[in-house]
Amino acid sequence: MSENLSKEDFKSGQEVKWCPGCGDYAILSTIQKTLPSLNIPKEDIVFISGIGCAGRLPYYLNTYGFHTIHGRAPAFAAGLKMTRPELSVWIITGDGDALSIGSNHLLHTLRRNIDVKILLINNKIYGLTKGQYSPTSERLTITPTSPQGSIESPVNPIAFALAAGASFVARAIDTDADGLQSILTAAALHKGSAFIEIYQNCYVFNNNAFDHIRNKSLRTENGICLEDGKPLLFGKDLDKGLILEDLTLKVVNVFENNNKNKILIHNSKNEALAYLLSRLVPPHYPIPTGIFKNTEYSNSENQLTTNKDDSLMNTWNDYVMRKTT
Amino acid sequence: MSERDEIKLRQNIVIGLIGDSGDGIQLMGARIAESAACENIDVNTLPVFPAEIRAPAGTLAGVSSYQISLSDSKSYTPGDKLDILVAMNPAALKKGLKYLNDGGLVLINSDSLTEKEWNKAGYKNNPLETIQLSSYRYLDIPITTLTKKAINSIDISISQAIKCKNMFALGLVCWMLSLTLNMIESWLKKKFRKQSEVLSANLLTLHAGFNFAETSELFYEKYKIMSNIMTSSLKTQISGNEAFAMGCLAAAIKSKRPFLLAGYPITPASSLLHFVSNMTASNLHVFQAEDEMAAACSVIGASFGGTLAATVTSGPGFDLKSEAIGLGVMVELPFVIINVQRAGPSTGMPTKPEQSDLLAAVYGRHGECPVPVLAAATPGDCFYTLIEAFKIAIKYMTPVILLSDAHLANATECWEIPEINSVENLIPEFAHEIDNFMPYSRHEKTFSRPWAIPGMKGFEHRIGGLEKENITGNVSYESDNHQLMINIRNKKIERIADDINSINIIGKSSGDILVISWGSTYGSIFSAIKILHERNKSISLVHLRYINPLPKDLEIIVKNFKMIIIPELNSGQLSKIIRERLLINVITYNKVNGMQFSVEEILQFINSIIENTQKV
Repeated sequence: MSENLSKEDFKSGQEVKWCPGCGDYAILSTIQKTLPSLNIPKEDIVFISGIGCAGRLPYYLNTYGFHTIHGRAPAFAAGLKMTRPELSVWIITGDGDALSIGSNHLLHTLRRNIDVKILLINNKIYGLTKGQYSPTSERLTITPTSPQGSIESPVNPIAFALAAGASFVARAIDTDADGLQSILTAAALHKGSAFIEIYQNCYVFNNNAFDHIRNKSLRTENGICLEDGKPLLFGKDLDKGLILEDLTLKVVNVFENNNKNKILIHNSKNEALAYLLSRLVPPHYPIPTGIFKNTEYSNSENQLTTNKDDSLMNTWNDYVMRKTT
Repeated sequence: MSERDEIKLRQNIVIGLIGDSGDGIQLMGARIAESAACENIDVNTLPVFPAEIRAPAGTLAGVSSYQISLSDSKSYTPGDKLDILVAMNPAALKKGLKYLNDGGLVLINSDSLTEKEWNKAGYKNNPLETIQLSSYRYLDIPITTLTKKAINSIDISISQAIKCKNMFALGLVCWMLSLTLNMIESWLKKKFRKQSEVLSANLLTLHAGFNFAETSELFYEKYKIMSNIMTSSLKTQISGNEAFAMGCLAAAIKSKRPFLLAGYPITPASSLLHFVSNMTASNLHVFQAEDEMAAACSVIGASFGGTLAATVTSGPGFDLKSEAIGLGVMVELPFVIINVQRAGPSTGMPTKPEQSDLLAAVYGRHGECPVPVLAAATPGDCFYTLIEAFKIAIKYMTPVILLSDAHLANATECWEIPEINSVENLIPEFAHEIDNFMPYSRHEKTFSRPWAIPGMKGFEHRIGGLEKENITGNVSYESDNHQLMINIRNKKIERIADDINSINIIGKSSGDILVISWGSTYGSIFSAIKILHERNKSISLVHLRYINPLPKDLEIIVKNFKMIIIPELNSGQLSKIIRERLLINVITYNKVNGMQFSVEEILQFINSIIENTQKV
């Protein structure tokens, strides 16, 4: 067990160089605050990132860190975790990094259920390269490469992760420190891939993209908090809720038509429910935050290689014997 | 003893087995190689598979072949030309005939000599008519019919019965080469231990073939290789890819670290993944990644964790790994990239060898990106070159590119497995100075940086692809620092030359001609040089294992010869490097047709150079 570490122990001392107002500051702070509570020795923690604004995050954490290649952080993490399974391996990625150039690696990491924690920091824009549209940009987003508005449909990160077979899928908001911390803690405890989408405000290139949910006063109206065993209610007075009708989710007034009894109870073991929730987008639906899916199945990194339990020398001797007789 | 039973003693005999890709040719070849090796005969083999897994039966595209050279002493090539050709159908005959020596013997399955079959192979008439007019001798034997007859007592389907015909042919060949059937019998018994009917059918056919040759008056030639090779309990047949696999296992043992081999299936590299996957050690990991890039990146991730790691690829896969190799140069982590070269560009000819990735290996990345480049010379040498590559990688903290090719990957040679105790120690030295640990401080001799891995308390640090500040490793955009780091990275790779053994010159250390070669052409070139030495020609050979950096003494050696000849299976890539680095001119001999050099080709070229100079 590690000695008592504090948030300060996880600051690397490097000057943090994101733009003023960037949501990454809040995320970094919550990570630094969460890590001491996990009881993992600092030297056993590795943060691996790809390219993009978020990719700089490992430089600011006083753990082992590796700022790698655009899109391919999951592949580095796979090699590390496979051969050093005792380490706690975290991936920092962004919407372009994870869902454009690196979508293949993300898909396969999740389907293999490698025991790594993936933090996808989604600001729906390419920040580092000065504001081009990203794979999560909304249709008609005006950017330097889409002056008439992007004509592409955005990819839904939560639905992508679920479709890839991720065993742990969650969504958090950069400025919601408590929400993010509880998700990071659950992810750390999860055995297998944990995928966390974090809405992050890019102050310079896509400011206010998440205002309707980032803003605390609006969050109660526009968001819905997923908590196991609790009814799926939202709204300032918890007057709205989700029910299942015609195989789709529907928003209803809790106090009308005996709806109260029909309100769904959240269950992160229910994959079908997770998928329905992943498709909820404004303006007709609230945006879910919290843990969509949290299931355990044994398909960990050790099983990427087939049942191998022999010693190296035995293997050598057997091989030599086989080759010479 | 009748005249036909007289056994002809031979120093060397080359046999080609050719048939449809479903005929079990590879299996036949492997059994002959094994049986001969068991009698201490030196064996070199070269299997050639069609690019298509199962091209239409009877067509030229569907032909699979296996060439075996048997010698009484150590030999270095699978042979230029065939003494005996076993052709299972007309297409096989067509493919094989051009490699048959004048006066060579053709053994053909006469059941396949139907109009339909010879048309499929592009013959207008029965091909035997052509052979009758040539210098070749032939035996047409109804192999399929005799196979069916041999096993008519066994309850087995017709299609299964026909499948046994390779065993009949194998029996014939074993008789002709004076090889016993023991090895093949025990192999069959193991392979079909759960299928007694199939086992009996195969055993019966094998003996039927052998006995047919023994008793029928058709066979008037029987050969024997009297080996003068010492027996050794560690002798085996090895292909380059299998030697790499044993190298991976040996590297894991000698490093006392976990080992990772990562790749994405690609011809002709994949069999290395297969070999290591079948090794059962818990610390020997194989990762079949989602793509070539992920395979390379996983290896760097593993290396960051202190694991010895290699990625294996070929052709287009090598291009895809370039970016990861560049990162490896920047973060200065040790790993090995094995490139089993194949004919390019693009998809090219995946099953054919070429040495055309040399410049890509030495120069093919963006930025100033120096990487050591080594090449294996023979199948067995793949083992030692891999160990050497790891030694350099961990000592200098650098990725190392190791070149093989489709020839080495599949060809086998007789090889003595090294005693594991004699294999070089690869235990890495991790960072130990915890006070004021600096990830980019330098070892004064090697210029390498310290290797500190997760789990080491007090050494927590961050690395990445952005330019590093000298010593601290912090991100730096400072211009003087960038120049300094460029110089350090270059100098580090140059310093590896201090570790390279002095060059072993084959022949005299001065003279008329020096041949410089690298990679899989060694067998043919070395064999040609031996012949030229017997003819008292003033010629020597330097075969390079290191191409980047070049051995230091090469610069002096070349000055002691009047002419330098560089034969390569590309358009002159080593020649370019030698000209550039040593500022000398060289005579190039280039071939890029997807085929290995034959000894004869090398001899002819060198003789033409000698004749031309004599004229002057």
